[in-house]
Amino acid sequence: MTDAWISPDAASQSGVNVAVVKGHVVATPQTQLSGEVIAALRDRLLAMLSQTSARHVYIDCSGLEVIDAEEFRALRNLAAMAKMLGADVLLGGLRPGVVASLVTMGESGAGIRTALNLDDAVSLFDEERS
Amino acid sequence: MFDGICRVENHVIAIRNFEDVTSAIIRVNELSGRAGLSVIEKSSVMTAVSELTNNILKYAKKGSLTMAIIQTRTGRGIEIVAEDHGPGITDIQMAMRDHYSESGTLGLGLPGSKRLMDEFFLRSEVGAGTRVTARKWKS
Repeated sequence: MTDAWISPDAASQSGVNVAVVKGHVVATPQTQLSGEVIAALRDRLLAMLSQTSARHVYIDCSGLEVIDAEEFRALRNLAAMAKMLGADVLLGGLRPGVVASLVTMGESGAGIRTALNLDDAVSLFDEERS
Repeated sequence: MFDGICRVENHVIAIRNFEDVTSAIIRVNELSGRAGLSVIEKSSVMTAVSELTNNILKYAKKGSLTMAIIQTRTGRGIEIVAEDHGPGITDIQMAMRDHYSESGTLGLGLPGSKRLMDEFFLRSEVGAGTRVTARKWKS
């Protein structure tokens, strides 16, 4: 995609890459999630949403082999915070094993929107924008 | 232990920081693969390891995770033992209660781990520490 813009700040240090693709924010955690990684992601996304006109966020979880219950709750809280800034968060690329484990632990998936992959997410976002 | 279970490839990982949690998850993934667990079963074990080792960091600061391939006459699987010498759990019944309410109150990660595994044993003594032994059998 020609209009992708990779944020110049130390993305790799925080363990999450954040890019803007066609006006949508795409965040990709590079490492296993931790409280620190999620906090860094939260701070960057909220700053971005309050300073730019981007209204859609896609969090690409395809690289994550494990999302435990607490990490999932932190992502759901992040989505709620973004919503209060008038933005929408889609979680995508969740692996079969990850969703199976989360549901087994009692997480229902309520309170967070999901998409199969980035392609799906962009279609959903574009539908909402038009 | 003489419980009719044969343990091979015992690994002990010290849990002191988040990097140790990550390496424990990677190691248990490899070992579960060699025990013949399916992708979904492997995920269950990895998630339980994440819950239990994060518990160690949160409540006891440090501890250990032991993992082994287990074999009996009837089946094969993975055993994980999360152990610490932290404060222990005062109310085990309370700790095993589900906390996944919409209000977001955090539990100890124990009920979740129990659901993910086939067998789950918790032993805790106030002031002495906590040990969780859990097994997942190949289906």
